[in-house]
Amino acid sequence: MKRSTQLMAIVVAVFGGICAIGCTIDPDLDPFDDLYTPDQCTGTTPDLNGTWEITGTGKRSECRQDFLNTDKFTLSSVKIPLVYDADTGELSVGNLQVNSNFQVKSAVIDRACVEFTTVEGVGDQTIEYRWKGSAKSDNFLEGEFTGLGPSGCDTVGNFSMSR
Amino acid sequence: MSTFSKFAGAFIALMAVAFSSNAFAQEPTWAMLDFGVRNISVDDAATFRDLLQTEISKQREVQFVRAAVVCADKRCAAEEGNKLGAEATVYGSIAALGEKLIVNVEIVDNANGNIVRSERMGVTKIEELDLVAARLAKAIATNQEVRDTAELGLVTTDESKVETRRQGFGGVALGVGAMTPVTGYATVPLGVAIDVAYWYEASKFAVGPRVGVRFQADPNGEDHYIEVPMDLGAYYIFGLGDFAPFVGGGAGLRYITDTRRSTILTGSVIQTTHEADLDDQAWGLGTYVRAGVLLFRTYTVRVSLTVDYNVAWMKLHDEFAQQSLTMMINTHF
Repeated sequence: MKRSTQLMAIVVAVFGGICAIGCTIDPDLDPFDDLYTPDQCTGTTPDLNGTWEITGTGKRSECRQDFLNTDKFTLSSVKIPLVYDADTGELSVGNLQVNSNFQVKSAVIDRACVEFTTVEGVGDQTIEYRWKGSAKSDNFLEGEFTGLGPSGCDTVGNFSMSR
Repeated sequence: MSTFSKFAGAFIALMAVAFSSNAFAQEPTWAMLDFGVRNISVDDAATFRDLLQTEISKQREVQFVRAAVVCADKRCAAEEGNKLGAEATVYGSIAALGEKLIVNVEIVDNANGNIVRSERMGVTKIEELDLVAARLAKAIATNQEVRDTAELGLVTTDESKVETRRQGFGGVALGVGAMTPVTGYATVPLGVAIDVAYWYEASKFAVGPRVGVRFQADPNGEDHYIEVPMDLGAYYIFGLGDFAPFVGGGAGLRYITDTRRSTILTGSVIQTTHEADLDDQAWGLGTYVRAGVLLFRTYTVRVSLTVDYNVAWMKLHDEFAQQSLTMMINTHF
């Protein structure tokens, strides 16, 4: 076998290996993909304008600081004033009661289904949650969320949102 | 006679006069009296006196005149020395005390009758009197203490012996008791304390190292700690009876690992809450003071009751200086 052929074989093997590893790691990047089904979105679109509170439970793993890892945490929020512009589809946060670096990054509303992302700066770290739920009434939503941070934590859980 | 011959002759005569007068000026005259003897022979004492005279002459420029007189005090010695026209008088005694030979040598200034040197040395072998003579002569010549003149070849058998020391009593001590955290530890009401120590006890003091372990008594408690003290302590003991109080203290190394059940919060607008064990551990300096009572002290196996106040100088969970109280019962084997 020629030397160039051997070299080519090695390159193919290395890239093939990398591809194989990547294919086994990658598929869970978006855990919401399995949740979002058209059936869940039947119903009327809720009016998101107003003050909401979020509660829920979840678990956190892969944290660099071990004490943050937990099989169960409870989640709650202060009253969050949401402002929704139906024309532009933009969701934003009004004046919060607490002094915090908190914002809504993106939002998608499809009939009863609501999906948005919140980011909060805490010290030199950020906590990002991605919420995806469906409206059960005009004043109540429930669904699941994932999160990233602080300390590199991966978070998943269930939530409900009411006003 | 030539001019050169005259000059050379005058120079030689001048040098002869100079050397002779210089020699007389640098060699003072000392008197050497006979040594008093007790329980040894006069001949041995005379031999020692001759050796001493020779050694002193080797060590410093001095010429001796002798007198067959024994003096026991400085006044007598000074009078005899003055009779001989000496500036100083060497006198003394050699006495046998059991197996020991004790040599006393004194030098008196004949002009004023004051003792200028007084030395004593003891040996167990009469053959070592030559060493004594050499050492005493060196001490006199160099104005040193006799003990400072030791050098190879001049050390006596007595000096090479190990000094007799007071004996203490040492052994292992085992202790068990309770520890109460005062501040800086996990919130635990009571802990267990176990010590293994070496206890060396003399009549009035005791010293010894110890290694121990302290941990919380309730295995189901949410908060817990483990402390390992490694110390060296010293104690003063009051009394020799079967009830002897003592006080003291010590210092050493401490290792503490401390776990506390805590509520963990993340975020402020959206807040998560959970319970977690916060671990912290550190090495540091440890000190303690102790008061206690030693019981059955007249027996080989003794018991002591102790109370220690401990401080570990370290930072755990942002708290500096862990303080605790330890009460123990110890058995000393």
